[in-house]
Amino acid sequence: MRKREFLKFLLDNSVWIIIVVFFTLNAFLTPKFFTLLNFRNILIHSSILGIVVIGESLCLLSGHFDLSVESTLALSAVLGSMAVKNGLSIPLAIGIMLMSGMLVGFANGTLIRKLGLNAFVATLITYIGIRGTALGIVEGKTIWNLPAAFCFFGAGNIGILPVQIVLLAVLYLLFHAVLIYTKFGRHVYLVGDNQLAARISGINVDRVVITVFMLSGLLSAFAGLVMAGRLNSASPLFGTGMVFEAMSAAIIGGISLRGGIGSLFMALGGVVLLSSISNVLNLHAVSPYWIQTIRALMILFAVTLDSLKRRLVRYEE
Amino acid sequence: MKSDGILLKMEGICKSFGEVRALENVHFTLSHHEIVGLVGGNGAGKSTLIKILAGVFPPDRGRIYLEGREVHFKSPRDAYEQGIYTVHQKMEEILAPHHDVAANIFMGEEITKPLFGGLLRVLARREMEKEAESVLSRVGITIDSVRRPIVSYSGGQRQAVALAKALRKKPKILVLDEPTAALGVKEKFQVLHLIKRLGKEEGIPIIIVSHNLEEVFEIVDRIVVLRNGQIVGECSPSLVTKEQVVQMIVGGE
Amino acid sequence: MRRSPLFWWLVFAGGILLSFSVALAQEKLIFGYSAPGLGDEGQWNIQKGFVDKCKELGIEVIVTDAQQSAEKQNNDIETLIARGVHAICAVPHDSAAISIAVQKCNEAGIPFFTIDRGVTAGNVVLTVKADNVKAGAIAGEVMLRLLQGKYNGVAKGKVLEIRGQPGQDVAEQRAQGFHQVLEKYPDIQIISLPGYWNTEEGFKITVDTLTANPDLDGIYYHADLYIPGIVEGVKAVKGEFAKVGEPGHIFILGIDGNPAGLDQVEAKLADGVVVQPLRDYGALIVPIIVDYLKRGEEALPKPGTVLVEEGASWSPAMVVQTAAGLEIWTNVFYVDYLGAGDPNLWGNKPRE
Ligand SMILES: Nc1ncnc2c1ncn2[C@@H]1O[C@H](COP(=O)(O)OP(=O)(O)OP(=O)(O)O)[C@@H](O)[C@H]1O
Ligand SMILES: [Mg+2]
Repeated sequence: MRKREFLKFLLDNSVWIIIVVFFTLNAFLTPKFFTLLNFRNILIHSSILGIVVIGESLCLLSGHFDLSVESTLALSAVLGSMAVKNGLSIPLAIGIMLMSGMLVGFANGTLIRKLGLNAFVATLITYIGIRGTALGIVEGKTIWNLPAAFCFFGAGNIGILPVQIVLLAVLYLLFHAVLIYTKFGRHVYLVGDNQLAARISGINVDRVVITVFMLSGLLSAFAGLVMAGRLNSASPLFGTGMVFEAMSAAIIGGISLRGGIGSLFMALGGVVLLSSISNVLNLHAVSPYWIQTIRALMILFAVTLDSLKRRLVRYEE
Repeated sequence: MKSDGILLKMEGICKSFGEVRALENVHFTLSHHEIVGLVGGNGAGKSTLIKILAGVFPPDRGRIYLEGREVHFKSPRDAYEQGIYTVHQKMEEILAPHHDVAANIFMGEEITKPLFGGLLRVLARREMEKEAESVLSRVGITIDSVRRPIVSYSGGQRQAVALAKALRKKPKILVLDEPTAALGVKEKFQVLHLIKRLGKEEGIPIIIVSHNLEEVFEIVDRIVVLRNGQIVGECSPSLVTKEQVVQMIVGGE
Repeated sequence: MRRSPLFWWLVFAGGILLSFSVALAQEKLIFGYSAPGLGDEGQWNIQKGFVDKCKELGIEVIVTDAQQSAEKQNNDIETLIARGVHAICAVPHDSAAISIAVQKCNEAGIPFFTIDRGVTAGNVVLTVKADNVKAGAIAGEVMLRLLQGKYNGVAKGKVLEIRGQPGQDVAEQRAQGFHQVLEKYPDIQIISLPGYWNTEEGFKITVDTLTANPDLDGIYYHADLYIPGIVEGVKAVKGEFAKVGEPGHIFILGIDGNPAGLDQVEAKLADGVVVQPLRDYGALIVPIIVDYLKRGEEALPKPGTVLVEEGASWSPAMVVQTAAGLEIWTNVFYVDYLGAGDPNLWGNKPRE
């Protein structure tokens, strides 16, 4: 009994255990890795992806997925920067950004639930269309030099803590609590676990799914605000390829592609692990031609450890 | 239309799935304090009739009256709110496999409690677990822990959970689609006993689908036979023999 | 005087040839120009240079704008084919996707030229683009001088190179030129990392590398789009950004020279930038197209030769035969904050 519980604990926290192993190894193998400055760097690098991963995880937990997150991020960054450059007040600009994200999410949710499109097809349409819209609005240009107040969410500091890190922590705690402690969160899991059973049990599946996609859009748009601030610029090409990283992080964290299983806390582990791997590769200045291969090998190592653990506990399915 | 005894009336119900005509012009009634057994061969349309009653999908044609008023079930929620609680035949359609027993019993009906003076509402886990345990013990099936995910239980245990889910509150009409199919001898006896108690003592109207004529004869007041989507006979178990019912189910010569 | 029949035949033939060429000269040439997206300053300038040169030579041009859509560019080119233009010049938005249109063009017998990028399949007569190896080499030489200046004439130091997409020819050539110059100096250490043309990746690389190497002397970037990431990255690690000339400044230079890039150089955020003569690609390619229509293959410059024209910013340009086909690689030049305001730079030419 004791042993089983211990194994279950290992299973439930496998990403974090892998992170501990990874950090311990690199404390010896990678110069400058085990320093406060570098930990701060890893968390800064994690924050934008991390915010996107919250939205992606919500979608995955509900048994769907959202390809459009990175395009939504770019659209939001571009819209907000255009707005402040054209003299709109910063709160208004931020409002426009967040609204744009929620609208994209609403479109995704409606296409899936009301038109009956498959999530892949629906979000592929917005993935292409929204990136195109971002490109069109600024005609491919990058907007540079944004007002300092607008950049606060990306580059500001609260005391000695970078705002990015504070945001990462606050958003994860908030959404973790929503998922675990609220009725809505429970319904997200139930819809992902068995959509038919959820419907037959009287859960309004349409409302849950559309809300999930709107939250995903909102978070992606917010990530766009953080990225624009972090880089003091906005480009319609922001976040290119990020959706794959977001999915990898969530899956490495143990969120099932089939829905209903996993936790946000573990997805955060996936994000931190991916960011630490990139960080180590940069610190070592690995050959640019091999960097992708080595990254893939490290991810393979991480997921293999994970599947070994899974086999130890053996929950049949 | 209003006849005192009649609680539920389904009239001219038709339902097709593409080529397959699952129900053809079915008339079905249920009175207060009545236990009705719905029997028929595989693919006769029993589950389809029950899903229409539970609001899983609408009929192609036909009307449903509850206490003389016409009702339209657009979703399972609507049927639930009318007090029609259903245990469907397929467990994979009603249980969430990776959630624990309490979460399944309260699916869609989660209890919340106020937090920060009513500012927020959060799930009342403790309360739900306690109540889940008490419902299970009322159903008469003991399960070692309500905290394990459904996948880790046996078929009979899952059926017990599904039954407990429908019996958490007192139903106006209880609908059971093969509720004893996966149960062991002892559990089957307990569940039948429970159904009888609910029907006879508490006076809850029950529709039960079963292939086991033994148990049908034991508990129901009236038998309705479905064949190829049509009602081919109705009778009282006290007036017919099992062989006659089998004849109706099989049909023909 | 009696003429031999051969003489009369020659006169006859000459006369026909003459009337043909007169007819050709009288029929006004029409060129098609397919831009990938004129919203971009660089693209607008390339297009403007092309159109201006055509006007000067009395050639009519039909300009289409694909607005950053590979699909629209293919449609645009088909429209140009249907309009019966004599030649088409395009800046491909997507080298692979455009191949379909190029092949249609080949079938229709209309010669196809490109600027800045080649195509994956289909026949392109000639491509004009900047000499990216040279751009990398110039950046390497400037970096060398800056390092020597810092260390009293000794060539040493640590430099970060933020690359584009590994394997892509532009990135490879910009790396090649830079390394060719600096690898002769063993005391100069180059840390090369791929940024995948992604500003955020540039930020991460800058932050991580500065953490591992607090003594970093310089940063060489493959495209202007990395500048904001570099500046913010330095700020994130060092707490503040030392501009050009200020103590603790890290040398920052790279390639492109678009308006925003030049602004950063003028603002002393970056030391300088290697600029491509985008505005003058047209002046180089339009006469070659005209000549090609008259004389065919013969009119094309031979691989290995160097094209020179006094006062032209594209000059000298090298003619090279690459796997992608015949290419002319134009001159590139370096500007620092003193030169970044030069109104003749394409990045400083206002749009009309
Ligand atoms: N969702 C569906 N799609 C297509 N056909 C269906 C569907 N559900 C039921 N059917 C068909 O309708 C007919 C009646 O099925 P139903 O499930 O009602 O039978 P049943 O009487 O419950 O049988 P059993 O005793 O095997 O449970 C069958 O021919 C079945 O194939
Ligand atoms: Mg059935």
